[in-house]
Amino acid sequence: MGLEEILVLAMFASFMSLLLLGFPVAWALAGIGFAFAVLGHVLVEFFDADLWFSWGGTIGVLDRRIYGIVANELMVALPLFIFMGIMLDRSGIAERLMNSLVKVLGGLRGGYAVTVVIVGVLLAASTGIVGASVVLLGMLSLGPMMRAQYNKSLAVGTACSVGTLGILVPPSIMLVLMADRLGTSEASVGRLFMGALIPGIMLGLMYIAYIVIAAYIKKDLAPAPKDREPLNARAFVQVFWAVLPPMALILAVLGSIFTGFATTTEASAVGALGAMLLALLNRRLTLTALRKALYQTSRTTAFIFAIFIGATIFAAVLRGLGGDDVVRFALTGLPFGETGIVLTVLAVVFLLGFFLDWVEITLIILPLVAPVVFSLGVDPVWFAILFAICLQTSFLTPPVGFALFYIKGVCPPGVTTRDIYIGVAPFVAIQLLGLLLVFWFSGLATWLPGEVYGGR
Amino acid sequence: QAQERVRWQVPIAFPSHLVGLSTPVRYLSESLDEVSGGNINLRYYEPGELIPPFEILDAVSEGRYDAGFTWVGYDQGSIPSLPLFAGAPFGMEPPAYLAWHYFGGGRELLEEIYADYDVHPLLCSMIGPEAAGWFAEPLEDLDQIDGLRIRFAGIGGQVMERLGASVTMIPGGELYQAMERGTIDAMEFSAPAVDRILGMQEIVQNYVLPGWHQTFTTAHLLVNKDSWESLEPQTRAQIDMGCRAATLYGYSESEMENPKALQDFEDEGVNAQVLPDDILHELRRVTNEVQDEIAAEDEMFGRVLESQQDFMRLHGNWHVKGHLPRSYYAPEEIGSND
Amino acid sequence: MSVREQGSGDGEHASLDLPTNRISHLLDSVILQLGKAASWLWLATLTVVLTNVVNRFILGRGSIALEELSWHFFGAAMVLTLAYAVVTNDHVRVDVIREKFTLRTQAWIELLAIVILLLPILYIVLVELYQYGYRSFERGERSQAPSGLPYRFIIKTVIPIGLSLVAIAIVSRALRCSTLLFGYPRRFLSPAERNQRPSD
Ligand code: NA
Ligand code: NA
Repeated sequence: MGLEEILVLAMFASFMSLLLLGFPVAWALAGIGFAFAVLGHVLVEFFDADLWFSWGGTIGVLDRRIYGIVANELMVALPLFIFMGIMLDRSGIAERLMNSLVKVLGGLRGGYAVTVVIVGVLLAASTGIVGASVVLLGMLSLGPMMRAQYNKSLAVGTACSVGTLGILVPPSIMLVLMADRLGTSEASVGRLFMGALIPGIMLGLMYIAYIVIAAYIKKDLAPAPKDREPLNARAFVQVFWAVLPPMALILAVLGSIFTGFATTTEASAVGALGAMLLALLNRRLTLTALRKALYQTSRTTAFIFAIFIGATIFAAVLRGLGGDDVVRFALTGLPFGETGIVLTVLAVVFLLGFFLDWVEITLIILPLVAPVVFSLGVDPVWFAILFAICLQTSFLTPPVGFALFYIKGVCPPGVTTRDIYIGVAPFVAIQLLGLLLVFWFSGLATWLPGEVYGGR
Repeated sequence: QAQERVRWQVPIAFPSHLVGLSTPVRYLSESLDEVSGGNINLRYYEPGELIPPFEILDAVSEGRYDAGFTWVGYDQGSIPSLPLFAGAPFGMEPPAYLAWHYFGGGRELLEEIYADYDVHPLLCSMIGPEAAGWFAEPLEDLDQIDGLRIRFAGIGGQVMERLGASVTMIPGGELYQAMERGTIDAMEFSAPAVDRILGMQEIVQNYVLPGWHQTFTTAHLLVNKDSWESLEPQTRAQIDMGCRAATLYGYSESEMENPKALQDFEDEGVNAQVLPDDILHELRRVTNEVQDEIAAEDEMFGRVLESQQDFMRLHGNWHVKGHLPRSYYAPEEIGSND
Repeated sequence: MSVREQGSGDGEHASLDLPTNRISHLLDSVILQLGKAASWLWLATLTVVLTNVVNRFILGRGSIALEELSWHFFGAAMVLTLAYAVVTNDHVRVDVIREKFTLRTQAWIELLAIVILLLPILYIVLVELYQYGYRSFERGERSQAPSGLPYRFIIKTVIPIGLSLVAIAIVSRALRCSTLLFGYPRRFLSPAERNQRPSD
């Protein structure tokens, strides 16, 4: 094992240890990054180690990397969606909405969770900001699910996993970056968007199937609503009026983004304004309520961005120490055929997903493997979608699973990290099953782009 | 005697596969490695890998990296004269620009500008004109520009703004989505071979030509001054030659790939619209206004513009008289006897 | 009550898991007040984006300057409230093993990691960030977009100010660990806490 491999493994190991000791995620990322930067510097300066590491090129550019996080128009939507969620939650609208939707599903066990999946898929088709989706879904649904005596893990796992669909279902900034890096018109953004649509919806349906089946087998997992009245005309009208205003708001927001009428940021602002108006109509919008919602927005946004800042420090040092080389050597010269290479690449991406976020993985791996894979005659869209499903799963795999962190930030006090891990485990399994399905039936990814844009 | 060992990390502003924009840095890195027997390693990093792409000048200036490879027009927010070196509206054609750069005082002016930043600039790629952008409707009249939201780089962006457009600088990677979602109404990015990779032909059908806003496009290797001066003369000469060769590489490669890509576009049904003379004339009038205003505010911009225009007058006389008229280059005229 | 409210009540008081002392109490109160004040920037962000929506859809003309202003406000709000979330202890932790430790062990881990790892990297990054902001000021850096905003140095300087507040909040947290472990600085009960624990 070379020096670079040892350093990279040691870096992952120490990060995991510090994390498990209970140090906050963001601080652990930053702190371990620092420790290994010092180590790399000492090795290069005093021991003449054969590394590309330079202090200035890693630690010295953190200012620019952090500025890059702040100066990002795409992120403006995140706090605004969070504010919208807080407003809907605090004014009791979210709860009424959830309760009413569940009434429509009648005596179905797991009705709340199924509703979450449906809302989550709609959200995914409108925006691609996982942080916003997970936090929003968590805030809207965890309270009602807990009060309906749902199993903690199932509730948290559902909200958390569904939230990650946003990065796969178009529009998706991840597919945009992948198309950019693949650099072939055979895997243009349009083709990847079309390619991801069916697998994304399929995963949503698989989530629903899992919830319904699990709730049926294990009766206390997600009990049907107790005070169930038959859905007669009067009840239906009641439901209709309860659902109409918030549903109209959510559909208007999602629809305006979906049709390209408004940008994500614009729609998030309109949604935030609409939530304030709904709260006003419900006589819940006082100055105190507004103040508290703003404070809560700060606290939620802050913990998400602290992780972004910590992650950029960690990633800069990891790369500075040759982390990308380690992967490069592992992937070049594989002694397999086409299937073997694709599977190996996917396995590596899945494993890296435990530690790195999707941007880092895309930047490190994709330019490296794409030429190799395509020279074997593999369909670029198919490969890209498989890659994308792996990346989406990385949001759910501990220790560095961003969706896990987001949901932890909005969980009720009784929920522990362990509950979250247990909750997402079945969904990670579903992801892998979905991955295999797309692997076996490549048409799931390639049929729609072919229909829309013609054969390649 | 053995050659010194050089290991440079080089962040680049575009993904490394873009024809003529960034392929020359790949060529530079490989050929320097070979010509130095493996002693000169320039390792390039994709945009965002080390730093955000617009931060290259500052990072090289501060010595965080020994060098960076970028389109220098990205720094017009700090240095208004840079777009004249990166790709100027109604500017020189590539051969004339090379003459001006190497023999007409261009290089000296650029070095003078970057001296304040402790940066040594090397011309390291050049391509011909860019396309003037993708528009939802054919551009029949400049009044159509009024009220458009448009992505348009450099001084051309200021011209568009003068014509009533709102100009944004969305990075290349986000253009497709912005255009598809209607966040922007029109955009220019680069020449056909590069635009083809963006896949814009899937959502817009009108491709406007000629590239009045950028008659040439360059890329430069920005080298930190201390790093440059600490090199042995032999290494410096190798890197300098490497960049000259990379410039030729980028120019010739793009002149091969751009015509092919344009042909592909047209075969796929894209409407390649050539702007009529009166529109070009009007665009030139507005360009002159904008440039005069910038020159009034920024002394260096005025000096560079004057130097370029003086040379264009000299070169234009030769160009108009010495070269065949363009009509002889029309595909249907090639090989015909009339 | 709604779902999100963790240990610290409604963010009105510093988290209760560690004892506080006079210095930390003062620092925490200042940061809480600043964080709450900065929270109003979200409303400013919202207003700017909405103004842009009105401009674009009703007046038919968006403004690049306003668009840039929206992420300036967003960035400022985000950076200036980072420290607030430190004081309210909102930063996400993995508690799989942690919950088995005594409070003393937790405090030891936290104190050591803060002093050895976190404060040094914060200090180094802060020095870089202040210089970065100053260079932007010296060069009169402005937006690349022709009608974008001038004065890029403002947002570039807000970043280190926000992270300086984070450093202060973390020092305060370290002092509170020290109060628990060594009884120094001396423990201090805020009036609110005294009322909450009449039995103490
Ligand atoms: Na999406
Ligand atoms: Na993960």
